[in-house]
Amino acid sequence: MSRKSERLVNLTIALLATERWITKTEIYRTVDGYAGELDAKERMFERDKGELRNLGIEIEVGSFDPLFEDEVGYRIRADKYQLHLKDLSPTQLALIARATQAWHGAVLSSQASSGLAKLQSLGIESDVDGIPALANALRISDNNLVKIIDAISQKRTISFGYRNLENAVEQRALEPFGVGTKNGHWYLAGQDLGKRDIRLFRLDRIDADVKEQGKATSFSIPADFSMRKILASKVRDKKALIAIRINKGHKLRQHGTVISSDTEWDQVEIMYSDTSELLADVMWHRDDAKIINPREAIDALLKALVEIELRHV
Amino acid sequence: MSKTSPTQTAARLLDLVPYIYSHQGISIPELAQQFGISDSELLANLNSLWMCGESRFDLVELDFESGYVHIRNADALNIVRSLSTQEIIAILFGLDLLRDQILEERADLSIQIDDVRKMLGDSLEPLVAASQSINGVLLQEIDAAIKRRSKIQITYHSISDDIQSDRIVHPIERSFSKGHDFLRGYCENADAIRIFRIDRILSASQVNQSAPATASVSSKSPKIDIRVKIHKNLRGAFEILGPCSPIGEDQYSLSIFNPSWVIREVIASGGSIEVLEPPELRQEIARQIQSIAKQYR
Repeated sequence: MSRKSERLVNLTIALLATERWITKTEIYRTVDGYAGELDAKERMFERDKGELRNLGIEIEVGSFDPLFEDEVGYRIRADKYQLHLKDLSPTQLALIARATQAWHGAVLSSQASSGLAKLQSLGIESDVDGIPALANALRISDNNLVKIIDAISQKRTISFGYRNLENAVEQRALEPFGVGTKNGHWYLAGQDLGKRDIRLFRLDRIDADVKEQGKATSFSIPADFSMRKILASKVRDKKALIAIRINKGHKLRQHGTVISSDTEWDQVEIMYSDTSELLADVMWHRDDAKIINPREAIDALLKALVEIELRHV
Repeated sequence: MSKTSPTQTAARLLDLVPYIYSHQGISIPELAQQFGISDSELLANLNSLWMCGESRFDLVELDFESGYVHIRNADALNIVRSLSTQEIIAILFGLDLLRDQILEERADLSIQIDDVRKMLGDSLEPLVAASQSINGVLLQEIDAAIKRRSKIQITYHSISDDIQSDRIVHPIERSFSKGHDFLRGYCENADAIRIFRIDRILSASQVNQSAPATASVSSKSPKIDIRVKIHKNLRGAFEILGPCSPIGEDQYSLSIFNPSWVIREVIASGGSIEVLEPPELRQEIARQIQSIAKQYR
């Protein structure tokens, strides 16, 4: 077991237990684990302060006498260290316990467990009666997710290689704003510094590791940013009439309404957002689906058919 | 699993103190499970915590030799630490999934989830979003059937043939592979063990009686080696076709099990993907293109 982890705990105890500022000299004398020459102790203490701050523990620096700033002191204020969630109800704690099951075996599993353990330390009885077990799971082992969350938390710019449409890796620099998952894929959204616009990236298209750049708090997240809105399905505001063979085209029918039928075909009105996506969906169903209108979609489809035929004759 | 750093260990030691205070006498296995670590790692942590204190003469008093953990003299650390951003985000994602799964009649729970999301992190809440890739209610039905060892009726959409069929399945297990959830079970209709992609199961319901077997299910096609040329949108083609081996300029080889699926994807690609070999597959694509075009004449 590392002596460093014990020293960090001892330092936390010393800084938490004190009402007054304590100096480095006092820390070296009373906190177990600081050994060696003064220079070595100084380096050790500076690193330890940084490590505790990385854990989200706020170490205050102050002076005994505002007129004499040569002897600074340190302390951790219990009210800043402490979790303030006393109003959490037994049902809410049970919902959180269920929610953390989603990470079982995935990349934020230990964070979900430690978060739950903290909440369960508040002395609230959990009431799981009537709360369904979580059937779905967040299946992601990509460690880039943790790096991205840290970068969002610290408002730090990141850079990464990203596979473009032709599968070539392009370098992107991004102010990360949010992360999310939809239909089994994971996404990152943020201000693309090259494109000067908010862009969405799929995590599995990121090549190698995400790297942090520059200083913390180097940007702010727009107040109206919503990952949910960014991941929302595109608005289907265009209408097409498609003839679909009876008992076929199940996927195509999901966004459509049958308006008439004969013995062989249903006439289905389909709402869509993007003509190229509509074409791909209709063509995937081969001769089980036929566009009746709009005319420009038919023209585009016929053009694509010629291209495929030329390649395969 | 990556090795725990001294800082991560220190964080756990700090969090163990208030947890043990609020759960005096908890067993070693239960405590280890709560923190997602092995019993031996927990014992190492407790031995470490035992060496901590305000001074070497005033150490934390821990008793765990009996297999049950008690703590004293650690009042300074008996404070629950605030949640880290990673912890809050992990919980917010889970709550999002849970809310999707809660039935309409439990609107009270959905309201509680919204309240707790706000309580945990008002500023972080808009930055994360998770939606189910699979209907949670359907998954619950499948899980319950696996647990009960009872059969279920499923409506399954066989994508490559574009056929929906009702099947009676004795579920065996759920699995996850290459980004998809699967159900393995004995299919009465096929009279064989079958693997179903869960996102293609449209509905699942309990069956009390044995249903008569209906149409048989076609058996798996043999593996076919094909060669393709990818003219554009290389990333999209790779994501559809899966692992491909480069064999020349823009040319790749791959193995497929289902020619019908490849034909559909090649046509839907609008000319991005060209099949070079085998010639029969090329001819079939050309024939199907003519059949589609005929509909517009």
